[in-house]
Amino acid sequence: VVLQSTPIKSNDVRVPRPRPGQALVVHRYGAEHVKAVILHPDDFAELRESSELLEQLSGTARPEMGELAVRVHRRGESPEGELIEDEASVRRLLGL
Amino acid sequence: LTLAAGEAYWGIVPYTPQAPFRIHVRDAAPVEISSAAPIIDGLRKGGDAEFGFVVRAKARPLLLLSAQSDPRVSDLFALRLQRLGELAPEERRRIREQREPLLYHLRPESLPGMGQECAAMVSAPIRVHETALDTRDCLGQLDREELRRSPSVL
Repeated sequence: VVLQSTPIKSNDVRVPRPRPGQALVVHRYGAEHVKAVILHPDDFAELRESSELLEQLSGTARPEMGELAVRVHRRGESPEGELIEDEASVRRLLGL
Repeated sequence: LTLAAGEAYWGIVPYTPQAPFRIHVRDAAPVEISSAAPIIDGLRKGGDAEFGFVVRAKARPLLLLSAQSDPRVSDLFALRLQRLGELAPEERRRIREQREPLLYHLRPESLPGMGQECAAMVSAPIRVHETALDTRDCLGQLDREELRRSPSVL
């Protein structure tokens, strides 16, 4: 599932301002119970990008391949030229 | 057969081609060329000519990053797995403590078929054709949560 975000107006909450690269971890009943993590918007954007990348790689959010994409992919993977394996021809092409 | 992201299998993985390149010729030893440029010049000169390259490969455990995307295209993305037993104790400790960002430690319970602890080599995802996988035995599977906690490339 892609990381979702829910906007909250700044008037409705009081949160400290994190620096880029810093995660402010809000505890509840001690350090082992994390209630929330406050990130700088740049770090959050990076995290979200990673989440979207994961979804794309795992296929669940990847756009379906159209006929053209399949054809282009197949063409890229199919040998279409003449396979040169005669030693004299190989050497000639390589200028040896 | 349905392959899923987070599953691990043995697969045939060629080493990334690099100089010197070895070009296959019929009934003779491969022709060795020390750099890419003469090969590219030769192939461009030859129109749509292609060479066969001799590339070494080995059987390796792989962690699939992608599910089967489309039955018409059989490519998958994967990460190679490094068995921790092949590393020094200090190196194993660093990986277990997740102090190596490009070697992501995987819980042994997730990959029971491996028989030992592994790390995913995050630095270089590879592309693998499904026919290059031995799908008789799934070595294990990371769950979605474990995939989510892993580094960005996963």
